[in-house]
Amino acid sequence: MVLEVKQPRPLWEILFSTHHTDIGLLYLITSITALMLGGALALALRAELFLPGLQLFQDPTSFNRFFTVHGTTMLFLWAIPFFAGVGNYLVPIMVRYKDMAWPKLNAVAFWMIPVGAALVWVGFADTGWTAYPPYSIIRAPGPAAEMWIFGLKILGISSILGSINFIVTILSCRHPDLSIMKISLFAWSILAVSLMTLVAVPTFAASLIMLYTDRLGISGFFNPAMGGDPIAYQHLFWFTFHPEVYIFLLPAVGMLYEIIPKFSRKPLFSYQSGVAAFVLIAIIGFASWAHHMFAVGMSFTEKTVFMVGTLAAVPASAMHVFNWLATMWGGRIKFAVPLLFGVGGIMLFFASGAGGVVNTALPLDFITHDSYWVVGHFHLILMGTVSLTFTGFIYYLFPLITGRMYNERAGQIHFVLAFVGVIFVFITQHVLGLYGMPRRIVDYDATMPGWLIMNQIATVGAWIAGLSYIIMLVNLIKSAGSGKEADMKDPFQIGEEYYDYKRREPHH
Amino acid sequence: MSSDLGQGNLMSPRSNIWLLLLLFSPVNVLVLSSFDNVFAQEAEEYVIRRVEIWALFYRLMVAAFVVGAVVQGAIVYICWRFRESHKKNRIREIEGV
Repeated sequence: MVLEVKQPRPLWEILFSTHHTDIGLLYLITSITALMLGGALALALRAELFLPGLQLFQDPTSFNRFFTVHGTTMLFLWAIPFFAGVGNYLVPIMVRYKDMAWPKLNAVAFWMIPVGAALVWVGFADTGWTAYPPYSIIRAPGPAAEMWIFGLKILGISSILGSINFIVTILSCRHPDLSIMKISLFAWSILAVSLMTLVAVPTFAASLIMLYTDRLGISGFFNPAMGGDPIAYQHLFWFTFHPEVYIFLLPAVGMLYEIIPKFSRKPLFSYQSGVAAFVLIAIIGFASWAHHMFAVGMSFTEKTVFMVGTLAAVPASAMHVFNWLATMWGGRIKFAVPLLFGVGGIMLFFASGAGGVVNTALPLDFITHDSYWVVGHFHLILMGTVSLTFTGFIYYLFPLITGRMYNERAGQIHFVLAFVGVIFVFITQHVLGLYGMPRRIVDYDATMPGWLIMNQIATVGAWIAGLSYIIMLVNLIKSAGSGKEADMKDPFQIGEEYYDYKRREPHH
Repeated sequence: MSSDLGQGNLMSPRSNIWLLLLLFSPVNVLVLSSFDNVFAQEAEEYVIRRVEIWALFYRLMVAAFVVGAVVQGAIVYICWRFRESHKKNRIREIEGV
């Protein structure tokens, strides 16, 4: 199949290719690079908080710039490009089509990402990844904020173009013998998130334009001095970005549906319930955005509606977890590295979900709002569940991409360190939030009970997780060049057929 | 006999619904009554909200940890029992084959 690394070709041939596996490879390399860069920023932030007072950063603004670019990088340059890359590799194979529906559009969607990334990284804005007004329109220093706005604009357009391509490929280009209820659940997850992207992202795209014109002073949509309403921005923002949480999550869920049956050596427990849960979450994801804003002064009725809307996602998520556990039950499970990460992701999925239920119970939200609990909660879902599962899938796709096997022992060490590190950082941050530490501060009062020790535990955990990803990087680079040749029919020796590139039978 | 169906007979075909209601009623009562306390606004009804909210938090945490122990325990058990190296999961050679 691909084996770009095994059969090297001139670099320009891959860079200017429109073939889905080449674009997929570019997406994956870009996203893993972003993971490392965004992770380095996170380590700097945690190093600063190891002790009270200013250590690494000369002023709070620099700290703000770091966490803004860290958040933006991890969400828009690691998570989204990663699942787009995996989708590029696998969706055409799964629907048995020769390529994506529009290969050139696919290449355009990818090449917008480096441009958006450059704007975000060169600007290094300090608005926070949410860019809430009025700070972002009145005080945030330019041109960094403008570059962030345009960077996000370009990344949003890239997401929309990619989504259109996935939807058309899955719905219109799949093999005639393949009904929609026969495609894999990973393809279903990509279909669900693509549809969600088309509905969610244009709202944020519009609010970015309003934000920009507000900064120019020619409008006052969100500027209180001109009669605008900053809360309106929050509604527009979260209308996009609460569904976006599920857009990050559902591909990880789809990947777990690929990994778990294969490594359990058992058929999936219930395909239909998986599809139903994807559809339910895709709809319910839009009914809960204002739970991020309980503290802004909404009425009790509004808060109750959004609390119930949020809780409605719990049964659908539980359907997925039950499906995985029922699939594993009675199987003969091979704990290769991809499954280790998958099971780790499921365990943390429950923990982060439980934390989310606490956030959404509206009396309790007032305890946790803007505290480190929130930081711990969303990092536990994004790093603990989404990123660990994505990482497992990097190992899972490694033979497909390179034709070689990674070092299993190094992968196991990576998993143990990453899992322990993630728990150290993010569970501790939950408790830190309950002890009253607010988020987004560069310095803290060491006399507050528990703050110092918990910050230090979190920082050590971050270093452990950071070390684990360096091990992964070395392992993958070394194995890509000199790893053992993979048995392409069954590289993990699980008695299941691996992805067969030639089975697609182009039908056009 | 058919009149027994759906009339609270736990053995009837519709008993699942009643079992579910039975299971979830205490949870609903607990949660809703707690909210009522937290948001009490009536005259001469004094509520120390801070205490009530933390009490609600601890009650929900107890529920979360109980459910969490069951789910995480199930995951750990499945991983332990159905791993390929478990003695009941090893492939045995059949004599004479």
